[in-house]
Amino acid sequence: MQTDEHPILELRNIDTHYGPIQVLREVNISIRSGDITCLLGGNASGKSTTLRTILGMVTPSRGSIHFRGNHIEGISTTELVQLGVSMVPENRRIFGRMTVLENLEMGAFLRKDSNEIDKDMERVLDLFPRLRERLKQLGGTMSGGEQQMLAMARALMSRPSLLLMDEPSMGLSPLFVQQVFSIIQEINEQGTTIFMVEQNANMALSIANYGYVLQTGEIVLSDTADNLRDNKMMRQAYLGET
Amino acid sequence: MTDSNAAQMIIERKHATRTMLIGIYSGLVALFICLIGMVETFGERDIIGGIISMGHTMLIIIAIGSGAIAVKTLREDMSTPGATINKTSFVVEIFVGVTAGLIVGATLSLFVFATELVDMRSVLINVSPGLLEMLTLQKPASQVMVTMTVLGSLLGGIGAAIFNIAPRIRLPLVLGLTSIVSLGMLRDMLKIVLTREGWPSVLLNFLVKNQGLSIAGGTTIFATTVALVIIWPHLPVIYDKTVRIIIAYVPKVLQFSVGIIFAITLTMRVFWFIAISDKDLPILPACQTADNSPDVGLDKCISIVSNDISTTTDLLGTNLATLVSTIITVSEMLIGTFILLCVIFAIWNIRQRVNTTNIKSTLEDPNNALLIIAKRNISAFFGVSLLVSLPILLGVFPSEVLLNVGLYMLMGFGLNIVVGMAGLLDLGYVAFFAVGAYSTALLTSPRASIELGMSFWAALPIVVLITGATGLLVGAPVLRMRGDYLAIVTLGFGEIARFLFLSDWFKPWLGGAQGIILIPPVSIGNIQLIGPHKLYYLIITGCLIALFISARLRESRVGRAWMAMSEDEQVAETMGINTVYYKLLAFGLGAMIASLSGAVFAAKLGTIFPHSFNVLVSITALSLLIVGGIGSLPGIIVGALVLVGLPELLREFTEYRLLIYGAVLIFMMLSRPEGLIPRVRQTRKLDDQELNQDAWLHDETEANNGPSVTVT
Repeated sequence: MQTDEHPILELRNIDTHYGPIQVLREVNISIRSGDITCLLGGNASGKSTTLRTILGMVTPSRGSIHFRGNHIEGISTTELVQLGVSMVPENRRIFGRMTVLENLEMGAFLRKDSNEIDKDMERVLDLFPRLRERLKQLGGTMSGGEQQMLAMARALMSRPSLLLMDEPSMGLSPLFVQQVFSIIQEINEQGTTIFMVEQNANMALSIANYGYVLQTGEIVLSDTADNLRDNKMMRQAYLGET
Repeated sequence: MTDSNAAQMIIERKHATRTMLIGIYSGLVALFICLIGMVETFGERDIIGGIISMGHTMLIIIAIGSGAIAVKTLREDMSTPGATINKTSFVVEIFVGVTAGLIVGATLSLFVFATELVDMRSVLINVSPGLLEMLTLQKPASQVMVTMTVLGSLLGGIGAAIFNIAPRIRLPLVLGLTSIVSLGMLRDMLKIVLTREGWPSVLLNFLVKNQGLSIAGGTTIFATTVALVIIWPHLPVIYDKTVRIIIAYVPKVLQFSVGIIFAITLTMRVFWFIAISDKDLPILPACQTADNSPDVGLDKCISIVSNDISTTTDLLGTNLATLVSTIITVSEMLIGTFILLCVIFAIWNIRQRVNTTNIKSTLEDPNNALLIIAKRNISAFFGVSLLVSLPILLGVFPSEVLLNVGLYMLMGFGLNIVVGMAGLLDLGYVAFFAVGAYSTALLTSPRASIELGMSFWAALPIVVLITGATGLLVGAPVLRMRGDYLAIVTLGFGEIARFLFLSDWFKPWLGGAQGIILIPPVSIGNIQLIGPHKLYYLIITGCLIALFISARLRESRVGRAWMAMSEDEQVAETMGINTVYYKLLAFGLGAMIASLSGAVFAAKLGTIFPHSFNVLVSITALSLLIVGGIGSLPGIIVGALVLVGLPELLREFTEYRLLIYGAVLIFMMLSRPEGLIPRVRQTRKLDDQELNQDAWLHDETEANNGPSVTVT
């Protein structure tokens, strides 16, 4: 993990509204290049909205978002993907009627360099050997865990510098969760910055460098992962300690 | 199984009730089609002349069907796990069938009895003496009641028995009967086709007897179908063998020359057909407009007709006509000679070289590239020949049907881009068809307000562009809508389009309810494509282009983007797909293809009115996609043939067209929701290898069941 001090993505004082309802209040998040940063929080705390705001699916009503120092609030998702941000959506959401191979090709949709795409395909299939066995299979016929792997592989195919992940552990068997998280670590070691939204604080903090805790739309805690693990409030609220 | 056992099974209430319900429902259906007058109308057409009418056939099918369905349900009940008895016997099944049929017969006989007592005609207008005559076969009702009930149970029993015949015999039997019924229904078509010049009238006299098929004809059809069904599975092998022999033993030069000369003959035939033959006088647009506009009188219409004939003859001259027919005759003789040569060559070569290993490997290697190419060429060749020669073989009226099928097929291809590929449900597709037709009319008709009078070909690119732009216009405001909302809004757009064409506002340009008249026919060089048998070539070209575009698009980057978008729009966006662009592209391209259809439609009729562009056109286009299988290209072809072609052939039953239509759609949705020819992708099941791959998963979950870890 080569961490450098520059934030690759920065949210400054972000407010987001859905109609009259304010979902995010003055959210400040800074993701350092090369890190695994995680955003923790319970249900309805605004985690997914934060991701949607970053991705340009919702426009923030106040504040600014910077990607490598440039303002990106209000730009379209497509443009953001072009800048090098990729997303593993919640609940996998792979293309069920496409084969595994076609799903992966969709991930590289914007790229034109077919040689490099082939190389990345190999790299991704090395990371997820199970997918290699199933290249011709329809995505929808695979198990949940395999679909999660496919979703991650697909996101990697755009060769992102920043990978956003929405609840990668959701709905997976414990064994798969472990597998998924170790792969996330591996992806990070290969040089991709990761920003992960999770409910499974235990697992997330075990691989993350830095963490933020979101509660009803506000960042209530932010610290290095190690410190967060030791934080008393954190332990009580999220790590299941009494 | 003993009788007591059987009795016990029948007594089992569930099955008994279900059987009776099926009988009652079938009886009600039979009664319903009697009361709406369907049986009587269809009774005027005979399947076998003088013996059995279509109306009777319908009732018979219902009775047989009730027996068959009853047995099918019974078997399904038996096969469900937990059923008390899981095997039925032949006797029981026949009994069940007879019961269901008996109820159908009893329902109808009760109905006949009731008509004796009460005069129903004042309320139910269709209970006519004709209907009763059909049901009772001109005998007093009291006698018939018993006969009908017995007949019903017999038929039900037959339905049940069909289930007990080995499939090897059942399939040819059922298909043979079906082909008799369908050919009997299409008797008029058969007559039209067979009375054309060039066909021997012996065949017609043999097959058709004034009201329906002759007995001999019916038997022949049955025998032919049975023979075909039996041969069918062996056909690929025979074909394969033949192609192998041709490749191996006939020299390439011969193969090529046969192909080329065949192609020349075909082209010449078509040329001759389009340019010279005007024997069966086509329906001219001028004649059709004669009723609608006062200033084109009948005298003028006749003069146009005679003019047209003289121009075509002038145009080509007798010399050219002779030349063409000479070429055809010569090349047909050449083909005959060449085929003879091929046979001689093949036989000679087989005798000479049967032992050389080279030939043997060509003959036996299943993956021989040469073989695959040859097969593809041969099928393409015959496919094209068939397409090209259809109107020549069938004549004007069947070509009219084909033309209509083609118009809808073309629309189907366009709509498939929007609905099947991009997943945008468009119920107002008729709007683009209308814009295409209207802009063609406006640009080409010398009587249109702007008086441009362009030729069809000059107008076509402009028409396509205009309609494409309309597509974008409609697409833009509905970009954020999906599913039901999109459907409703586009439905509205379709109607708005029609009202705009009708409106007084646009009347100076578009003619309001009168529409635009005197749209000139399409001409190629100096030859005018008048009449459906000639326009057929235009529409078939359009369909082939649309098919090609769709097939290429589907496998392209754009097709993938559409597919991703139709599956999950948000995720598609995170893949970097610009959904706005691709949605507009789908709307635009779909509109463009519809405009081609509209243009041909305008040129075909010569006159267009707003009333031709009602919502039913959109519905039909969408239904043919659904029936064929959404997203499947061969499905569109089959869908158009079934949903547009068949009703055209049964024109005299227009009254019941929508009823049958609805019944077909409901039946399709219940029994085969993926369509007649579904897209491979949608029906693909896991193969064994892939299932085996999953095996580890089951083991693992079982292994993990013990020490389960809870994650908070």
